[in-house]
Amino acid sequence: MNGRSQEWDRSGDGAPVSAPAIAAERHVTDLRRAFDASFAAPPRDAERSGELVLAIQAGGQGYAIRLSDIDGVHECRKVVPLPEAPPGLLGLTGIRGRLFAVHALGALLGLPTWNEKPRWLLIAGGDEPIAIGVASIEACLEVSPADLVPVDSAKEGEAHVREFVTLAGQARGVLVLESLVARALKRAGERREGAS
Amino acid sequence: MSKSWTVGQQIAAGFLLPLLILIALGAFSYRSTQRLLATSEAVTHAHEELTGLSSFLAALDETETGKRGFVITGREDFLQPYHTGRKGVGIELRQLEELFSDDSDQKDRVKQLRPLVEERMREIDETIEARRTQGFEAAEKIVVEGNGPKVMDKIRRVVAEMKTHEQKLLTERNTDAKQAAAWLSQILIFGTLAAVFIVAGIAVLLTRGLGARIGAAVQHIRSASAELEAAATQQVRGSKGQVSAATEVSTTVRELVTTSRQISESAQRVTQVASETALAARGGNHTVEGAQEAIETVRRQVDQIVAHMLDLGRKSQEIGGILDIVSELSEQTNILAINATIEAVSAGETGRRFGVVAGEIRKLADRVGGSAKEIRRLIEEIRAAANTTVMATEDGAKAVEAGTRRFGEVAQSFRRIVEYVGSTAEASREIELSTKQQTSAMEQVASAIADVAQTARESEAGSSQTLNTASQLSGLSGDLVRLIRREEQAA
Repeated sequence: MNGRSQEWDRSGDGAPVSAPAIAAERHVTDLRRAFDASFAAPPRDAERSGELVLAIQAGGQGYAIRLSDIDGVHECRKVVPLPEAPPGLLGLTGIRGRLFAVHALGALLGLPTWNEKPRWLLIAGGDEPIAIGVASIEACLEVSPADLVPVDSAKEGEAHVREFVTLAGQARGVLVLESLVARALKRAGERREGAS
Repeated sequence: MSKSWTVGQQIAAGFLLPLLILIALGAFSYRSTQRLLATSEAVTHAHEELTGLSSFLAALDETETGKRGFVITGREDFLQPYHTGRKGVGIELRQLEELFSDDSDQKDRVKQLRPLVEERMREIDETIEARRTQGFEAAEKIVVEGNGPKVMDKIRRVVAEMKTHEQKLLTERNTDAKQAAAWLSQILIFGTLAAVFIVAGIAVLLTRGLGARIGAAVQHIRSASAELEAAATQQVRGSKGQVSAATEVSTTVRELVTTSRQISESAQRVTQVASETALAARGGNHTVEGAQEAIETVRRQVDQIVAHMLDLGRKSQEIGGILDIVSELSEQTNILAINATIEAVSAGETGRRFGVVAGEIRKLADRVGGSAKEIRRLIEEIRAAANTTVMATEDGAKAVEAGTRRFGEVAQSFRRIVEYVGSTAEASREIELSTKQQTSAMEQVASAIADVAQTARESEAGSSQTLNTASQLSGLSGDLVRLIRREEQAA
C-alpha cells in the first residue's frame, strides 16, 4: 500500500501538482487509512447501548425506522400487480421462495405523493409478514436512546410516529411498523371482504 | 448644255453641230458639183458629137469636091481633097461609132450610115475611075445616071436626125446643169447662213457657260490661292516655331541622354540590390518552410493530444461504469449487512458478536459507497476537465489548422515573393539593359533631332518660297478674274 502511495505521490516528470490533485490524493489517503484502520482496530464492546435505525425516503419525505422492527431488507425486483387492489397495495413479489404483498409506505402514511416506484422492500409483520416499499435507504445509523425524542401523536397522519430522531441535522419521525402493518392488513382485509 | 459636262465636252459639242452642218453642206455641194460636172460633161459630149457629125459631113463633102474637080478637069491634083476627105470620112465614122456607143438610137443610126457611106464612096471611086479611064463622058454618065444624090440625101437625113436628137439631149442637159447650179447656189447660201447662225448661237452659249464656269473656278482658285497664301504664311510661322522647337527638343534630348545614363547607373545598383534581396528571400523561404514543418509537427501532436484526451474521456466513462458496479456492490453489501444485523438482533445474545461484524461490514460498505460517490464526482470532474480539454484542444487544433493554413498561405506568399523578387531582379536587369539601349537610342535621337532642326530650317526656306508662289498665284487668279469679268461684260 505504501509503495502505491509513493507512486501516486510522484507527479509525473516533476511538474508542480495542482490543488484539486492534492485534495484528491489526500482524500484517497484518508480513505485507505480508515479502511486499513478498520482491520487493525480491536473489536468494540458488544454491550452497546445504541439503537440502529434506517434513514429512508418515502413519499418525498425522510423517515427513520428501527432496525429491530423489520425482518429484512431486500431489493425490489419484480412486483406483480393485483386486480382491483386498494390504493397502496402494489402487488405481490417473491423473495426467497415466499410471496409477500407489497404496500407503498407513502400510501400507508397517507402521503399524497406515494405513487413512486419502490427501490427497496422492508419485510415486517412477524408471522404474517408484508413487504413495505420505500424509495431509498439513505443510511443505517446507530443512535443513542437519548436522541430518540417521544412525541404526541395527536395529529392525523402522524399516528405511526411516536418519536423523533435527528440525523445529519435533520429531524425525522421514527415510524412504528406494527400500526403500519396493521393498517396494511386492515386494508387488505377490507378488500377481501369487499371482494367476497 | 449640261453643267456636268466638262469644258472639253462642251467645246466638242459646240463644234460638233457646225461640223455636222459643214459635212452635210459639203456633201450636198459635192453631190451637186458632181451632178453639175456630169451635166457639163454630157453637154461637152453632145457638142463633140455634133462637131463629129459636122466633120463627117465636111469630109464627105470634101470627097465630093475632089471627085467633081477631077471629073471636070481630069487633073490628078484635084483629087487631093478626095483623098483627104476619104481618109477623114473613115476616121470620123469610127469616131462617131465611139461617141455614140452609149446611145443605142444613135448607134443604130451610125450603123445605117456605114453602108450608105460605103455606097457613096464606091460611086465616087467608080466615077473617078471612069473619068480616068474612059473620059469625061463616061464619068458624066455615071454621075447623071447614078444614085449618088439619093445616097447623099439619105446620109444627110440620117445625120440631120442625129443632130436633132443631139440638140434635144443638149437642151435637156443644159436645163439639168442650170438646175444643179441653182441648187448648189441655194444650198451654199442657205447652208452657210444656217451654219453661221448656229455657230454664232453655240459660241454665245459656250462663251456664257464656260465663262460662268471658268469664272466660278477662277473665283475658287482665287479664294484657294488666298487660303494657300494664308496657309503658307502660317506654315512659315510654324516652320519658324518648328525650328525653335527642334532646337529646344535637341537641348532636352541631350539632357535626357544625361538623365538616361544616370538611370542606367541607378538600374545597375537596383539590379545588384534585387539580386541580394532574391538571395535573402530564398533564405527566408527556407526558414518559412522549416517553420511550416514545425507547425505541421505541432498540428500532429495536437491531434495526438486530442486523441489521447478522447481516449481519456472514454476510459473515464468506463471507470464510471465500473464505479456503478462498485456502488451497486457496496449498496448490496450495505443491505446484506443490514440484513445480517437484523438477523443478529433476531438471534439475541448469540448473534451479538455477529451483529458487530455485520455493523463493521455495513460501515465499510457505507464508506465504499461514499468513496464511490466521491470517485464518481472526481471522475465527473475528470470527464468535464477532459471534455473542456478536448474542446480547448480541438479549438487549439482548429487554431493550429488555421495557423497551418495561414502559414501555408504565408509560405505560398513567401514563395510568390521569392518569385516576384526573382522577376524583379530579372526585370531590373532588363531595365538596365533597356536603359543602356535607350541611352544609345537617345543619342541617335539627338542626332536625328539635329537633322530635324536642319530640315525645319530648310522647310522654313521652302515655306517662304511657297508663300511667294502663293502670292503670285493669288495675283494671277485676280488677273484671271478681271479678265473673265471683262469678257463677260463684253459678252
